[in-house]
Amino acid sequence: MAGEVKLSHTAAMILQAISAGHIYGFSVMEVTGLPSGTVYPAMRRLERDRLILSQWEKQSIADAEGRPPRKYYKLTGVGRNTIEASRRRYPLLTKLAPAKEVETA
Amino acid sequence: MRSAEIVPSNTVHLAILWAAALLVPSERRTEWLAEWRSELWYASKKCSHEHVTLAGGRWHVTAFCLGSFKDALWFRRNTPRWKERATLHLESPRQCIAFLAALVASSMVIAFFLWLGNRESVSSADLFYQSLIASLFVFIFPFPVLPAITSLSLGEFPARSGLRTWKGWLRRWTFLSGKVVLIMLTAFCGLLILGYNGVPFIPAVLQFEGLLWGYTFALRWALNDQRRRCPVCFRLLTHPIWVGERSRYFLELNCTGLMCPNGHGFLYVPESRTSWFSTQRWLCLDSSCRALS
Repeated sequence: MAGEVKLSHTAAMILQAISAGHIYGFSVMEVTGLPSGTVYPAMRRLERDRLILSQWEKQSIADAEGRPPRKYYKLTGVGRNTIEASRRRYPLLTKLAPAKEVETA
Repeated sequence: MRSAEIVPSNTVHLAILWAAALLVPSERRTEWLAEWRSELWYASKKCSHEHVTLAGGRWHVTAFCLGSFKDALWFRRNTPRWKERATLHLESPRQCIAFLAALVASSMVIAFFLWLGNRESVSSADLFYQSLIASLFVFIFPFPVLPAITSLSLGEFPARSGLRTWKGWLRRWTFLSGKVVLIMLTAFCGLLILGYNGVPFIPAVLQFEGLLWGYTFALRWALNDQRRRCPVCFRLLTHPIWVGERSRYFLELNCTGLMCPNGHGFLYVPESRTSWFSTQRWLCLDSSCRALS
């Protein structure tokens, strides 16, 4: 039963977007087309349920590039199992949130 | 916690984020704001790169910022509130009773000084009896209202814990009754103060309504406070933690767990009521677990 968390379509889209390399909030918004008022609370819920983890980028990296540091999100082991199950449940999920090359991790 | 040198495109956007941040519990606010300010920086940059017109671009970023309110509300709803209550320093039963007794004493002092100033114009005996009659209405009013604004259940206790005996029952109800009586005395003094015109620039009807609802919510507080205390030592419970995951709601416990600071036990409060877990449950610990507290 572990790792078989049932997700709504929206939560699955967001998890798929993170899995595809859209690892910060605004990028998830861009790829899913969902508004900020949906994406950020959904990401909090996913993090609370331990499907994703957040981590602040190092200040020195952001300073070197002249931009503010970002908070990055990545999938946990449970999150990876869940997205696999969600892809089976929602077969079009990968088309809705296609993969992207990760710039910074 | 993170950089403060982010310069957003518009101070209005920053003001929206600051306003939303007020909804976020204080212990999470700095990090929450840092994340949103960072995201705003990237959102503003993206809009200018896509050559969006100023009005359209501004609208786009503003809509992005307005989403922060939903996020802030999520944090507010999903942060245990018991931590905030502890700031009143009513953790021990003595502190709680002393606080209520101080309220009664201060309202009595105000009523006394008002009586001193008006004893020639208002008959004290008449006023006392009028307040007594009014207090009957005030004291009865919350009974039909309370079940609508809070649960009346004080929780479930394990059968072998000694909490279901008449001694345990008497101790709990004595403490609760003490709080209720002190609240009633404060309300009665409030009625006496109203009899001496109370606050001159507020209409008397509004003052009476305020007293009525204030009394009702004070009783609600007394019940909530009772539920958040250890049934053995009556100290406020601490260290709230979430147990379970909402996505597995029907498979396992989904509740907030609180602990007695003296190690008497745990309290499990359900996040939502179900037929199998409708009210809070107390779990007793034996003396070997006291070291955990």
